[in-house]
Amino acid sequence: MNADRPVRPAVSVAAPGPAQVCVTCSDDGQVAQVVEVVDDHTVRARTSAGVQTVDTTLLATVAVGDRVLVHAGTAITDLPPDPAPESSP
Amino acid sequence: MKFVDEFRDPAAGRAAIERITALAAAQDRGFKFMEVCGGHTHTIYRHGIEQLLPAPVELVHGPGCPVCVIPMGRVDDALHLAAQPGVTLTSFGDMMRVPGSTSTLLDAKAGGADVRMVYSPLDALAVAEREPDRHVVFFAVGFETTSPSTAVTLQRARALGIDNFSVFSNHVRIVPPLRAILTAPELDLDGFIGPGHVSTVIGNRPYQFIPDEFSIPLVTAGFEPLDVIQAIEMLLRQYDEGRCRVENQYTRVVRDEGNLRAQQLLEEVFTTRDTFEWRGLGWIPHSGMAIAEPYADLDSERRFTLPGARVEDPPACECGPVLRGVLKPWECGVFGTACTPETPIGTCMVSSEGACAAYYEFGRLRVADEPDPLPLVSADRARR
Ligand code: SF4
Repeated sequence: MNADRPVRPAVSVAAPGPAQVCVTCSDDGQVAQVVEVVDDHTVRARTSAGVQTVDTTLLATVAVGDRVLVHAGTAITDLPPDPAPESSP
Repeated sequence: MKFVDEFRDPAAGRAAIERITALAAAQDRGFKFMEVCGGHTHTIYRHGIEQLLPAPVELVHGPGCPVCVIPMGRVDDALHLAAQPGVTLTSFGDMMRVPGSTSTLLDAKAGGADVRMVYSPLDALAVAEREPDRHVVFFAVGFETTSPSTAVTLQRARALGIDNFSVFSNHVRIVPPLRAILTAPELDLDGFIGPGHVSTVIGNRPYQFIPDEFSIPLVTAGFEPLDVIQAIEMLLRQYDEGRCRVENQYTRVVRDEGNLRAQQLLEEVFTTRDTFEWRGLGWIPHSGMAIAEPYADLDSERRFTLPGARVEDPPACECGPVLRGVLKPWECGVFGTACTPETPIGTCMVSSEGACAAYYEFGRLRVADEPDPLPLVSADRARR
């Protein structure tokens, strides 16, 4: 194990959680499932945080039930139907 | 969370660590791997992966936190834009806390400037549509994960004929800093853990120069703890089997060719700058993305005159060496004392993707006699 790292005292910090991850400006993506196709570049999609509006300009096709990876309000890729983590990191 | 547990299975993680230990022992040498992406840095600290690895395997943190690499002068330019009459400056949340030379965007907001946080550039465009008497500037940062979203927004602004909107582009490309890191003499890297979501857009092929020219492997990885551990194993296995190439651990998301539509749109909307300044890495040729001529009227840098000054980092700030992977966060003299997430001196302490903030949040919670520091369970879950 890497033991050369100095050990610092554990002090209280705010409980970390998803809200402390900047989901928009980091290299982060949220898996979402399309629940409604609104128009040719907009869908409503369900993520672990709820249903949100997602732009799908960057996808060739999109249909209800598709899984997509969302970053900053835009679907940046479609995903195969097998399960993947709902969000990262 | 559904689907997450299988990527955080402690038994699978320990088995992989055992394999990593055996692979490293068989090579009888040390390995230094850089995780490029701030998301990976966050995962590594949050799940205590560094402490699980055998001593010969060292992880160093790379420049892949887009907030962390923005130089102070660009923040000053954003502050200048926010101070213009009639301007509403919109920004992602983390950028609002990044210190410029005198203040932050949050300070500017407190002082009366119209600064608003948005979750996407399309939200910023919606503000412009709703409030035609304001000029809405979007302070754009991010790698190729984020720039497609800005490109979509600029295309939409053009289609809708919205002219009270512009983008202050600080978008950057991931490949040029990797080359800069590889050509710097101070780091002797043995491999990269490649960025997962940038690669959904650009694909894996742009990394091919790394094995071809520098003879070290890269493995694109996902963001769960087992993703990162498996990527380390894949890097070591290449050494074990005498291979050196680009591999993809994150096949459930990343295609080798990336997203061609996104790449095409980036080509249309952006142009590559001759050079762009990175905090800690200096000026890197062809690393910045400016707005292309057909969208010039939506470019804040052409609509406004910006100071464009180059500002030195504060003397106490060691973000540069941290971003180059040559200094660990806790080795900075002001870490955890003058510089904390509440009062950041440097950018690496602002975003949770930044190495200093990630280490402050998770790494220092380790106690000396703990045998299994963080058994692949996130710190927040462990507290519940
Ligand atoms: S502790 Fe603060 S000043 Fe030091 S390297 Fe980290 S962010 Fe920069």
